[in-house]
Amino acid sequence: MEPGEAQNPLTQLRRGVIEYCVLALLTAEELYGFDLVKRLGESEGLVTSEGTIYPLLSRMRRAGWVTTTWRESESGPPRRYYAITRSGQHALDGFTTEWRRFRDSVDAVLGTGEGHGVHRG
Amino acid sequence: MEFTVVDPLVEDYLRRLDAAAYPLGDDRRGELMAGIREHIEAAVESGEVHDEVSLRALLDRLGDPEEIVAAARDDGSGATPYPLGAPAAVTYRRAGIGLEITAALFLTVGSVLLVVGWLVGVVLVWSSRRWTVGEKLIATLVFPGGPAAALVLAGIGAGVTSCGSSSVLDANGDVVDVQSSCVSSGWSLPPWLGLTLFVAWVIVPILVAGVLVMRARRRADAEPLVPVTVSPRGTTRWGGLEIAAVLLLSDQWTRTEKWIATAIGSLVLVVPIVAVVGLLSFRSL
Repeated sequence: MEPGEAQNPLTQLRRGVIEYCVLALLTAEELYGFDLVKRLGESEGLVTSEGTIYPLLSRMRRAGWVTTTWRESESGPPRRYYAITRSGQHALDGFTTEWRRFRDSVDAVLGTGEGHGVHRG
Repeated sequence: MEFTVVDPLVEDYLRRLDAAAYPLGDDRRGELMAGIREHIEAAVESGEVHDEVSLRALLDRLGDPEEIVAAARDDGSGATPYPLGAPAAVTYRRAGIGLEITAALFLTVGSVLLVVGWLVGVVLVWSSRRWTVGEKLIATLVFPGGPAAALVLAGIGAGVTSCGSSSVLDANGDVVDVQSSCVSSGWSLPPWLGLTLFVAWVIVPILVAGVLVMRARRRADAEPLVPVTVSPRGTTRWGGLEIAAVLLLSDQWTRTEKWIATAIGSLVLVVPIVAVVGLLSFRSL
């Protein structure tokens, strides 16, 4: 690990959540790589190196979370469109639940939440 | 289109990426190269890239080729180290207690597989490092065969009583009397003993299993979080057995609610046993 990366605590966090952001974007519609990267880029701080999305997509495809189809574009070569699978949806649902809990816990400890504490059974 | 192919900036970038991606192997390198190439072409097509400044900005946002390849190597196969210095995309989860849950299930529900199920449970109990020796002894001794053994025992007790009847006829052949006799070839349990055995064999194991699983959960929570490399298996870490026991692990319910649910679940287990025993007893009358 490079010192620079160790200094930014969000680097690890970003790596952990980005694939679920991709899955979430794909629940609305099928997207091709460039569009997907642009959508992610619209949210500040989500992606630092856009190129790393492609290995991520490749990994998600091999994991069965997304499927790809080639489609003709109006101009230029056909494009690879990504669609979420049932297994991807399942993974996203699981993460969403975990994330809410995690986010609330961090907010509660940091005092940045909206007043609701950590729920424990 | 022509622009992306001939531009030395793009050529240089793709060449560097291709070289860095060499360790990925042909398939994944090809896929990665195609993806990045497509991205650049799409950027040109969309008009986002129209001169050298915007092209440099695009390549900048794409990131260093080495960094992209590092992300590609992080595929959870575990076979590839990270010589390029990028940290693995690792998430963390709390330590799992699949072993303990499986052990508890084998000792209770699993005992339906007579002897074998119980034996497997005992072996699993002793291979756990989250229970004390005392707890392991309790788990071993409290389940002498598990609930299924109680079922078999009850079946034997009920099934060995055989009854017959004979008719006494008068001179005209009419039935004047029916004599019934029951021969008990085995033994039958007095009610108090039956009840005690029922509690010892069915209720106690379930309660003990519940308590032990909860203790294991608490101890596992005190352990360091387990790193999970984002892998093809992803979040599918829930096996069937764990799902069956999810109730006890959930943070969404209070302890009281868990006990109530456990009691209901136990009844679901117990009622069929009682029904079968009842049926066997009825048939033997």
